[in-house]
Amino acid sequence: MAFQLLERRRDGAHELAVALSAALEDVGHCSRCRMLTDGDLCPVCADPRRDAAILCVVESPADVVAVEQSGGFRGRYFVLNGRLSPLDGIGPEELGLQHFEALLAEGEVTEVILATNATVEGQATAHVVGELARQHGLRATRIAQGVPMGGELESVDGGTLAHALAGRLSLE
Amino acid sequence: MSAPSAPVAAYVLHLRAFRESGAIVDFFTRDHGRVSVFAHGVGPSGSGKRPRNGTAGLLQPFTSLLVSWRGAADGGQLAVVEAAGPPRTLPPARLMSGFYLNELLLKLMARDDAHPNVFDQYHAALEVLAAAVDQSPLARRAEAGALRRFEHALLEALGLCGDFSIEAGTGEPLDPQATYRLRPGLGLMRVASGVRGLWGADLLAMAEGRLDEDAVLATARLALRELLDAALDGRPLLTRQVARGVANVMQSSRRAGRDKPDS
Ligand SMILES: [Zn+2]
Repeated sequence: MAFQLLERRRDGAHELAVALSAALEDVGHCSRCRMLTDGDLCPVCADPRRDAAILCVVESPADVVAVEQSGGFRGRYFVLNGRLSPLDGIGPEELGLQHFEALLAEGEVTEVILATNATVEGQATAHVVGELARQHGLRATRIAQGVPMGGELESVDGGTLAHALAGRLSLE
Repeated sequence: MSAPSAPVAAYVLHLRAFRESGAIVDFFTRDHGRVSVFAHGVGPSGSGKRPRNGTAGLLQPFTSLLVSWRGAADGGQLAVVEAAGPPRTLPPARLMSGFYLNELLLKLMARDDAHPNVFDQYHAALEVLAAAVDQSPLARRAEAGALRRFEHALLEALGLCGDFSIEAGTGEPLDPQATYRLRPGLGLMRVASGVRGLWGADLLAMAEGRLDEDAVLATARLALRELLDAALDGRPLLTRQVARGVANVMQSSRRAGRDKPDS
């Protein structure tokens, strides 16, 4: 891609470089949900019409984009920016679970939807996050249908994802 | 390109994203021990190039597989992956134990060094974990027993496990009423009565594979951990650290839940 830009589209290449360096400088994480954003709060957290009672926990910012595109979700998110990956030493601290816990302790959230990927590590992540939600006396649901084993949310089409969200199951 | 190897029974131990759309997959195979090969089009997350052919779904830990590859067992290319039998899912509460077994194999097994018995014990341990679905004392005991049996088999295969029924030096059978301490590489030494140590009776039960009482399980855990730590030679087990982190966050959350004025 770099060669193509240099050969044919030098102006475009310059614009891209400026945009990338601006992104590197300005983009941080939402102080509430850890979504990538250039402000303190991301647009979803800043929107008063979003339902603060329902919190959807996802692995990556791309998953937020995927769920937003499905159009059926009016709650807020919590972005782990990873998944529980014990063999890589990625645990609760790396996933911001203390921050997640503090968010639950504020008392606004009544339901936590676990929308981690349908991989073994995604299941392990959902288990730990779900246990935390339950300890706060909250309803924890897991999207279950439509996401294939080994599937990453961002590569699932919107229809399947909408179905998966609608058909979420309560964790016992 | 060379012909693929004959398919062998295998489990995925770990998958690391490599380059834009590939992964390095560590397998534990029955006939070749640990095998580390490159797989196309199964990762990493976010590349958007993941094929929907089911390979990514199969390449998950704890699933019985048949795999073949081209080239060396270390650095070759994954050729074919097939499910070997019905899918197995571990109960969420047992996943950490499964990851722990995988890390032991990754850290202690050499590549391309076959240990069919360890493979069979690994398979057996996963079967027990898969069946331990609730949090009853029975299920917890089954889980602990499976871990200890596997650790024992692994250490034995690596030649790092002595006989748990005799005293080092004298070669005498253990006295069930005496206490011992374990010195890795040397064996069990009797300690003076009244000094804390491993109970002879528990060690004898463990040597006979009777791992169903809590006291025996606790002794086996201490003894095997001593040997594992020596084998790991100072390398930390990341799964242990993460498990501790999970326990800590759960505990602080339980405290927070209790402190809520309305509960
Ligand atoms: Zn936000």
